[in-house]
Amino acid sequence: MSWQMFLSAFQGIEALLHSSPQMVVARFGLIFLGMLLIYLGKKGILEPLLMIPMGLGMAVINASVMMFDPLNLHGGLGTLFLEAQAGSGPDSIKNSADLMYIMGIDWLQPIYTFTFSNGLIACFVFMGIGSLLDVGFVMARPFLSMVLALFAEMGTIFTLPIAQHFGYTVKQAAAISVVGGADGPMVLFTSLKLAPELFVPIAVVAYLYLGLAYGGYPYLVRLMIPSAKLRGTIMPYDSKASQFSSGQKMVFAVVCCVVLCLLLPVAAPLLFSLFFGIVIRESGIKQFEQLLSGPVLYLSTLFLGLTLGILCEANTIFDPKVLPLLLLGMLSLLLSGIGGIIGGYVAYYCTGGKVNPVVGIAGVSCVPTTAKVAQKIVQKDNPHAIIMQYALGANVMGVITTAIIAGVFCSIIK
Amino acid sequence: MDGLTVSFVTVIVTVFISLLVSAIVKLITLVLGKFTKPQPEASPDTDTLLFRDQADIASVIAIALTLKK
Repeated sequence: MSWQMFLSAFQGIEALLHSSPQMVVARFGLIFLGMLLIYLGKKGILEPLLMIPMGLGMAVINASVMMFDPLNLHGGLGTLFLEAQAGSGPDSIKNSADLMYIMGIDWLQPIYTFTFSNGLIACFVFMGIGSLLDVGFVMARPFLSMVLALFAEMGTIFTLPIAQHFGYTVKQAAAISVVGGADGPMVLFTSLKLAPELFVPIAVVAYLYLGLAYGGYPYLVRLMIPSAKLRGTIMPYDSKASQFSSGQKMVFAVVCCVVLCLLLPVAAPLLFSLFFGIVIRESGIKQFEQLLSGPVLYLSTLFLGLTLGILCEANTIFDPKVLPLLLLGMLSLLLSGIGGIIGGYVAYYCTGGKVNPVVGIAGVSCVPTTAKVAQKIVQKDNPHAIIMQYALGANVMGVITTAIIAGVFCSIIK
Repeated sequence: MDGLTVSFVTVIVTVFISLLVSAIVKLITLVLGKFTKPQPEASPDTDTLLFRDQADIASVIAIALTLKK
């Protein structure tokens, strides 16, 4: 058997031999990173729902590169999973033909084309999230929740000019800065609207960091609030949130949805999806509620994680244009965390010490993870301190604020 | 428009819209509070907790209620 026949039998090895040494190292690095994500997901250090499919996708896509490049986009190398660049050329007729051709070959291409590149998956995730949200927590304390959520957007606001300084256009910088909103679907949606050319790296960076940030936020809180006594500040429990009827919550959701869509039509699909989930939850239609909060949310999350992992091919991740994104994404989330805690301090001093400053971190909007992080930190220092209901208010308002900022970006940046 | 201007305009517009949303919430709470009866306390066995997050939140609130008593 000749060497050429051997290579033809093991195309993965042939593809490695045709790659540059740096790319081979990068590919093995990403295979290792994928396995690490699976391990951390299994251990519960990172979000398993997202990290296990993403980690496996990342490891497998970097192992399955072969001598196959039907559209001549990657110098003869490719996979049978999906081609993110298919249909993105300047010739629209050729694009359609390329896309149809690739859809007949790559098994994940239909999922990517019909749910990712039009934002549908982000909307599905938002419907699911909406169906899990209890807006009673926001209705009980709207202004406190709003202040905390606004401070926790510091990363989004400050990263935009910084990213522009790094050489990105305003549209690209805005898409990158939304990572600071810590809201995965929003990042997908904004990058698709403003910088589709950076959609893949921004989405990958955002979801990778979202997982890591929640492991890092407790350290940030302890650093910025060094006093264990202050961290353990007891907030009075009030049952305001449970006093609202489902009808009242529905009125709130319907009115807010219509007003926000009127003000920000660009973000209407996402705003509608979020409030649709809330309305279904409060409407009492159990079948729809279970459909949205179960199959729709989990199927979308599964394909989201899997597709993001598949998109983590070494060629995409190690693009020189992408590397500053790694830094900017982290900076954005860090600044948002710092902003949230500053908001917590502002609320603490403005209310004469009635608000635990740790609650500020929950303004960073990933429902309900940051609220749970805040509660966990507080309970460690004072087992009698319960801040969950305040944290959830800030958390839910954080989602709404991030949607507003994404809408404003999409509306004012032309 | 440069990045700084976009950030500045975004802050102004976001604060305005957030205030509007908060004001709407307050208004709805006040208006509906006048016309609707208070919500009866839900009994724990009527709701099935389907998800871990909901269960976590519910358990923390249950602890808070116990401590209040």
